[in-house]
Amino acid sequence: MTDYNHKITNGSSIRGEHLKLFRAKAIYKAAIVHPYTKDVQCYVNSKGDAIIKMHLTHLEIPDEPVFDIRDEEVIAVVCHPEDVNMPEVYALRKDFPIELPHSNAKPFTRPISLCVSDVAFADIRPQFNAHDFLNSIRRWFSLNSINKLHEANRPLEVFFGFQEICCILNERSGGNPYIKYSQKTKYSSTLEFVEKSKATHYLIGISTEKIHASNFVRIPQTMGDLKDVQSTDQFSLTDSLLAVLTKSVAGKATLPLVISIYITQTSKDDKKTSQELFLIKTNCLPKDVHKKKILSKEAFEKWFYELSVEVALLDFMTSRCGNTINNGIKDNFNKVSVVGTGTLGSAVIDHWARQGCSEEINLVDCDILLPHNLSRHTLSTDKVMTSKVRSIKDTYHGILFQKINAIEGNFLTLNRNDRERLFKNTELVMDFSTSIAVEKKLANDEQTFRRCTSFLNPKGDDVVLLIEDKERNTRLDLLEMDYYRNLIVDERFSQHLEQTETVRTNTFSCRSESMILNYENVRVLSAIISKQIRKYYTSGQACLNIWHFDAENGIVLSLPMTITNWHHEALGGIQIYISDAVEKEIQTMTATSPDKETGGCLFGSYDRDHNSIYVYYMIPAPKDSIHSPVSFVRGFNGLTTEYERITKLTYHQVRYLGEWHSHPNMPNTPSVTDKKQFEELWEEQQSQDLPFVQMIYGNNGLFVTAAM
Amino acid sequence: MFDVKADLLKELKKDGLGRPFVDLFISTHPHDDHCKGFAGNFYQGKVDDYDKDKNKDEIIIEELWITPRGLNNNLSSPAEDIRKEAKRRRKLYDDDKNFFGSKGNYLRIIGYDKNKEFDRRYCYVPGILVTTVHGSSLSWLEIFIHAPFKEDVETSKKYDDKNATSVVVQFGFKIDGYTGYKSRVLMGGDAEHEIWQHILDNNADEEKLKWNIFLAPHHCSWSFFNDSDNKKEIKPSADAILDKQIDNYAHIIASSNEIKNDDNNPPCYEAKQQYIKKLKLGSSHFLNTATHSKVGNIPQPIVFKINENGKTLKENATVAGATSISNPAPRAGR
Amino acid sequence: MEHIIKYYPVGNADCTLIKLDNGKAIIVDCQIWQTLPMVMESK
Repeated sequence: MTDYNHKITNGSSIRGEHLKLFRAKAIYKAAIVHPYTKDVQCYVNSKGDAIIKMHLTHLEIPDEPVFDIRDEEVIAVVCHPEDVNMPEVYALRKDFPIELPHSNAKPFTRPISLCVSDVAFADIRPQFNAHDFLNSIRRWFSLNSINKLHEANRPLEVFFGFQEICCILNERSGGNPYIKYSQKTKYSSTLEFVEKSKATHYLIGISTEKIHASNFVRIPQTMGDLKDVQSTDQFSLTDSLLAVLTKSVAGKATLPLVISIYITQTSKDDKKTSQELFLIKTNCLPKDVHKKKILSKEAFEKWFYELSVEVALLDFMTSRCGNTINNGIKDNFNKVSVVGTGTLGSAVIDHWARQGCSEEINLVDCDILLPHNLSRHTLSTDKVMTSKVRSIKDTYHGILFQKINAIEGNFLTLNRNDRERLFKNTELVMDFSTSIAVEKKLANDEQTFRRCTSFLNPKGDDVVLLIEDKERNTRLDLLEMDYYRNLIVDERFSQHLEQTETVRTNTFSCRSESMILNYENVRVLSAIISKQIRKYYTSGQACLNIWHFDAENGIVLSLPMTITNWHHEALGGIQIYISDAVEKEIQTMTATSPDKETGGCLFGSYDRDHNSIYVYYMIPAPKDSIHSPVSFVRGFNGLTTEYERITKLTYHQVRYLGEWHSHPNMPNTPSVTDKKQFEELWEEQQSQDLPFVQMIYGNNGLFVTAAM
Repeated sequence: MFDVKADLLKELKKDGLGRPFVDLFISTHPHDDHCKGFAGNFYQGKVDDYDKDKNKDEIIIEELWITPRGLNNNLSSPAEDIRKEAKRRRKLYDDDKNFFGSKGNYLRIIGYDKNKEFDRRYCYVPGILVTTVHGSSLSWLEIFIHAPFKEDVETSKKYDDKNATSVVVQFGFKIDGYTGYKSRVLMGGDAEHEIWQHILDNNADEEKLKWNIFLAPHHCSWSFFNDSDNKKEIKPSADAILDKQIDNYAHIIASSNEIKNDDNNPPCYEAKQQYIKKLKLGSSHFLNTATHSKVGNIPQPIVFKINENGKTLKENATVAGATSISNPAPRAGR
Repeated sequence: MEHIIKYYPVGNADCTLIKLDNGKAIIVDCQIWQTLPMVMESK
């Protein structure tokens, strides 16, 4: 193996103007006009390559560079006739340093081949500019001189263009030497630490003291080539290997041998870390070594050193931290829980898992992946008919230190163990279940974790996000009620719950998945939600927001909804919540009718599981109402139309709940008539299985009574 | 020609009222080629009187250094402008014994007042190491004053040789985390060989004359090496100073027109040859401001970075096409 | 941490700028023209 390969840059002298290769000629022309080149000489060799040698002067190199690069360097640019790859660049100085980043490994030590660009030549060629090419060579020298050519947090690239890369899939436990080595493509493979019964190879680790690149500037092809690679102390790599094979249990191994080369570094605070660098594959079986040992020393060495080896560059499976770094994520969680792993849920989980947003993600769902789900689910087709949560957990298996726990079950009926697994120490519970019951259950849970719910509208062009504030002043159920109120009173949302005709409807919930839901919309909206949830978690604020995606024009609109404050009363066992928007309307109406009683109808929602009534919409007295100073009869002109309108807008979530009237200049104590009205209307409501609310607004405030 | 003012405005900070300012202005000596453009570009007068419109883009000088010669008579117009400003500041000190300087009013006369020293509050003499400017520590820079000397001031008076009274300083740059100077720059205005000999004779600490960058005095004139009529002999002072280059990577700057092999002096071709001979890395480390780097036809400043890796000569990387976009297109069409 | 020293190209004259990492600036001599003469050299 040669130390300095002169042949690679030799040729017969030719005048630059006579160069035939178009690329070489362009580089020659740029070189002779460049203010900081000198002694430009051209050559051609027997293969038709054009070689241009020159001195680069006035390189931006400090007086005390990190590597011994000088402010004047001699280079050779080699252009091949095929012009399929970037012209090669060599640093010709006899003592040019060999351990630099972005130097290509060659079968010879010097001249050093510079990796000047990491962009494929095919992408550069259309606009290839010789002048910029020379400047990028200059840049290689100047950035490398201060060790800034390779950005610190950039993933390791392949500098061995034609060599193999092997990815280590998991962590080695103890000194487990059993590995499963799998070739994936001609140039790639994986290595997994497994139990003995599954192993294909036996791994021996040899440490080396010197930094990687210097050892592998020349790619070893036989065991003998490894003699030049230094291990520890004065021993060469082969010496260390033989020592291990003859003196340790490794010598008895019956599997083919794989050697991993690692370096150990001691940090300033005396911590030792080791980093695996290369893999050396052989077909050699350790027990064969023993057999050959009985030969004479020369015979053994001849056999051993002629064993062929293959070098593979090592890479490592990504970890959760690696994912956060690769995505620039700064807002991380320790533990989060997700309820519902359908269209939206699986997409958000995918974002969180690939970005390493949380160390631990707990999933709960009892669904299986059905064929039609494949149109818009993150799971792959081979997972059809499997449990969604189990399959999602498998999808991200292998990302080191990313815990994903799958709880197969119905959130509403979880057993105690599963509930504890889901909730203990969780920082955030995200509900993508599309079940209002789940959301209500979360709203009424007293634990302190932050919670949110998110869902798509039936058309799939809106995503809604409800997040409680940190102090739980604005609960999920109240946000849900505000959501309905906004749908009624804000024109922007009039089409939000519209459905397309071919959709299979389910009148119990406006959120059930419909048949037609565009996957592109899902990806756009889920990406928004994924980030917005983290943003609101950090800010501690409540959120009630819709994001609308106009797919036709590629525009996303953020449509914040108004969050109201709520007046809460506990009446017997009933929790009644009145939006202050309604209260204000009642106040205003009363004030504009100072002499006569007035009133209107109350609308909202109710929850029998939690004995709650929510009043969030009021329709004022229709024009056929009769007002007198001591009585008020509520008319019904236009009420049905209005009721139909608001029902449609909220997809049947809003109900008629009751009546209110005013006692102008009087306290709000119900009169005999008022009490009678309550009884009558309550009976009517009950026959329709609805609760009833009666409110009286007097000069001492609001009186509320209700029955469920 | 390179637009120095525009570049200065880009580089300099602005104070609380949006006025550009410089912490220290050193006027090495009162020659036109070191003073031109002072008035109108540097603010003269009380800082409170600075008019946002009338004085727009005028640079406020926090502390002004001037030589004794710069305060005297027989000066050209730009040098007179500097003198006027220096005198305004001096009066503040002279009028009030307890005045030690204030914003835009600091003054230091570098050198001696005939045989004695000026008022200690507003002078520096050779041998002094300056670490604060306008009352504020420079932190990362120390300025050692080598000249002008008493005797030279007197001699110069006799022949009115303004060059002889040039300020000569060594700038010592420090970098956080490293002891000592990471880089040293020796600048001597137009000082001639006699002055350099004088400096060598008086200098106590060799470290104060060492340099990584040397500005060839008087625009690469022969006067550093000997009298202009004696090109055969090189005075020992020149060798001694040039031998003080630190390590192998020292640079010499000629702030001058293009140095051609002709009879001009400055810049002097033979001086350039001598400098190159003495430099460890030869001609590649001799830089001429007129020719070092150009964009189109316009010469660019010579810039050094000084950091933990020592000094680095910055390159003005050009993009292909820069020449055509920095020169007018050849006339087209009729 | 980085300081810079800049030698301006002003012909047979001097004008130097020193800028420290902490923003402090020093100018040694000046040479500023009212109008910038255009130098049209033939290449």
